[in-house]
Amino acid sequence: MVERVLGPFANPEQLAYGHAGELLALYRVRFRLGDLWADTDRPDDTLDAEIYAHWLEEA
Amino acid sequence: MPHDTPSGTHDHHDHSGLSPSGHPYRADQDGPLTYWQTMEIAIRELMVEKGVVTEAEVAAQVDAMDARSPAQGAAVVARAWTDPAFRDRLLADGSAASAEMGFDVGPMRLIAVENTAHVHNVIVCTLCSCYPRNLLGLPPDWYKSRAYRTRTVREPRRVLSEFGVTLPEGTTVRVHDSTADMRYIVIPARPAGTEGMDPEALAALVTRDSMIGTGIAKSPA
Repeated sequence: MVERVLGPFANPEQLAYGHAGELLALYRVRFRLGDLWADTDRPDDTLDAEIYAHWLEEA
Repeated sequence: MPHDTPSGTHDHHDHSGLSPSGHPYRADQDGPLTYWQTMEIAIRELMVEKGVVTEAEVAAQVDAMDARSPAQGAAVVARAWTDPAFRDRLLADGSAASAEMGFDVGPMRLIAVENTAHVHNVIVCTLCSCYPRNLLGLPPDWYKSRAYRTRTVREPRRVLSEFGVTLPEGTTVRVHDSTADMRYIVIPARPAGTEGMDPEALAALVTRDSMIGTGIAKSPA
């Protein structure tokens, strides 16, 4: 699930190559540990990570 | 420990390679400068020569960076504990709320996450060492270690237990991976028995680790 929407921020992949970064939305996406690690004993703990719009697909 | 040796049992020269305080001597840095050290000196000297900055300004900036400490973050947390409207502003926009108190977070954006009776937050930067330096100073070495960076996202409760943090049943752990554009600070839960304490006294209970999430705030003495 999307925890919150941030940005827009310049695309870091373009910045890394010295280009002007296209402005993109940045999402904080919340994952259940149980969905990330099959063997976790705490499946309902969560990991929030920042992911740029172009790495996400419509769910 | 070498300094515990009763005098007379050994001559004054210590062969163990340890200083009198029991630590290894650090080798003198007699090697050549690295490429990047040379580059830094060259650019700094050029900028001074061209009048862009002065040596004193460079020294003052290094001083300012070294002066940053967890006390700034602790002041923010103590205010959030005592001023509900500030707490709300801090949760809504961490950068703006910190700036209100005179702490500039710089170009990064600050997100404050709050520990409650049911949620415990912990911060990690899996890529490198992203850390709210303007509020907490320099990150501890362990924060940058591969072990902390990999294990905190994989088995956060085991990592927390190694820091002496055991959470009550029914608490959800939320791990926050800090990458490039955001910085995170945990607002630890306010300890019991602190009713009526002023923000300054409360700030003394807010440890660096409690703002990373690997600790909890201290109880009043």
